[in-house]
Amino acid sequence: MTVPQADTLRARIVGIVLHSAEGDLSEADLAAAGWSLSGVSYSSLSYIRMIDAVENELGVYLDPEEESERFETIEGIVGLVNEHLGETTGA
Amino acid sequence: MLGDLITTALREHGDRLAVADSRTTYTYRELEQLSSYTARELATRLPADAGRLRVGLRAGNSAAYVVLYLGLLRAGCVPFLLDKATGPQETLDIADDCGLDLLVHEAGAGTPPGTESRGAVRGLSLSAFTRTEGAAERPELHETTEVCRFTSGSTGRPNCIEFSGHAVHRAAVNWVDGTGLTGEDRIVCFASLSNGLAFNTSLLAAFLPGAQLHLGHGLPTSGKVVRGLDQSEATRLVGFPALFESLVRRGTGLGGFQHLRMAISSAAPLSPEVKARFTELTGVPVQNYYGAAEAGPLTFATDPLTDPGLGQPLPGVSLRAGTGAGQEDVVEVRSESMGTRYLNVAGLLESRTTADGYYRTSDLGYLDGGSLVLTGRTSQVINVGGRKIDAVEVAEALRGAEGVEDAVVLEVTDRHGGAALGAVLAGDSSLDLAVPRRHVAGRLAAHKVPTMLRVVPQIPRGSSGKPSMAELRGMFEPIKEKA
Repeated sequence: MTVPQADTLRARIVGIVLHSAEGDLSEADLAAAGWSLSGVSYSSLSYIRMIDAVENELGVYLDPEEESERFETIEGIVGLVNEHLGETTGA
Repeated sequence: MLGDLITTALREHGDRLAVADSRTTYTYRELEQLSSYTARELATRLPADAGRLRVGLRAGNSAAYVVLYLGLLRAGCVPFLLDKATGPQETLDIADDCGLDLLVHEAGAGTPPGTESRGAVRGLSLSAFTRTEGAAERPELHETTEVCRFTSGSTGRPNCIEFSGHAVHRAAVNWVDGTGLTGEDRIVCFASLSNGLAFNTSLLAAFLPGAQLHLGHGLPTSGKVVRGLDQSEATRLVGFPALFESLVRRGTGLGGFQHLRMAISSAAPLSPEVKARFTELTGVPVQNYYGAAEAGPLTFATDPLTDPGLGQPLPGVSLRAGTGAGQEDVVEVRSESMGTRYLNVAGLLESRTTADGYYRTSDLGYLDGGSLVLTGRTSQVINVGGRKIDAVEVAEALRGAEGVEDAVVLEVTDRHGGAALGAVLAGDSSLDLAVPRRHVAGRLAAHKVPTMLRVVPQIPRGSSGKPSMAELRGMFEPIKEKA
């Protein structure tokens, strides 16, 4: 699997996070909350949808109980996915 | 009583695997010994004349949780099973309301203010409550009470249900007998052990016939569930609808289902599409568990694919409902696993129970050949992802936020077609929605923070003064998407 460029991956993760939200979350809301998911009260159902989508689209396995604090921000998720993608591809 | 019954069951199954989480595995012999050590260890931390101490157990699923639960029972304490998501202030309010003495919780996780550390037991922290000044008088426990569980009320606080040891034991025995659970079964349970679904189908029920209980912890994402099933070679899967929705989203390539013969979903309606697709993908029918927090597990469908409803009453259960389609009535239930009363709301459970001992549920339905078919509800209970939420409690919290003059909380449909928690706030149009969200998040569990908010100058009300719910619902226009 090809590892997406960092900015592409970030945009993709942001898109997945917004699409998975059960509320009417916008990118501006996320930015205003410092890209923190707890800052926008991201629900557990939204998290499940988001992790499913990341796993299905990017072919990685994420366990939110491991390193749970990294799931609290967009940067944390992007970093985590990047590491997993590196492991998957040996990059 | 429960402590003795559990000890007997554990001793019967020796070196068989009893309980496992992602890191720890205990045989029945180990579980018996560890719960006995834990009971003794707890005794050294408690006052000698403590009597029936009230101990809140607020933690995620783990083998240690099971050891603590059994240890508390064997020590003569009364465990109060709290949702892991219960916030620090909510925990404190419950402690005042129900007279809790101690709390067992995960280290560092939302320690309630003003509690005193009593060290750790089996990796979980023990904190002691001190009575808050001005708190109401501590309610007396019923003499038969051995376990307490909570249900969302409709008055702004959770109702605490007292259960006798006999009721808890009969719930497990009747589930085992009624569903054919055997010592060869391997249960993977992703529902929280404090929830009725797991409490009644897994926590004690697994140990009576000597089955294996594999505990899932945290969010039930499809990747995690598939791994759990694969590793345990599970025969039964227990989880909320979100788990099944997640597996269906994953679609093809679902491994780990070779040994599975029963999938049990509950706590919120599972959509027929998800149910059918899950069976299509795995070959396993989904059993819709029906139970009431106040009455335990109630029905079981031997063949969920052909059963017209939620199944026949379990052993020890009697049901009353309407006589057929179009003639639905309030579902009334009587079981051997009934709660005794609400500890913190005197007389309420009694007022919901008929003279001949039937509990009047909030469900409407009818019996079709003895199988219970649900058609609706008598009250507007908010149920999001299997968690029931008291609109009054959330609205009260919202009204305390800066800039919020009034609030109405309601169940709305989100853009994925699922239930979500919505709130309409009265306030200035410039109100920063992060403020009320933060305010509620600081007071209540995360799932009680509304995800969809609307701001209006004034809450629309009808001539009676009640909020105009139709108008309020109209403010949330869902754009449905497929799951």
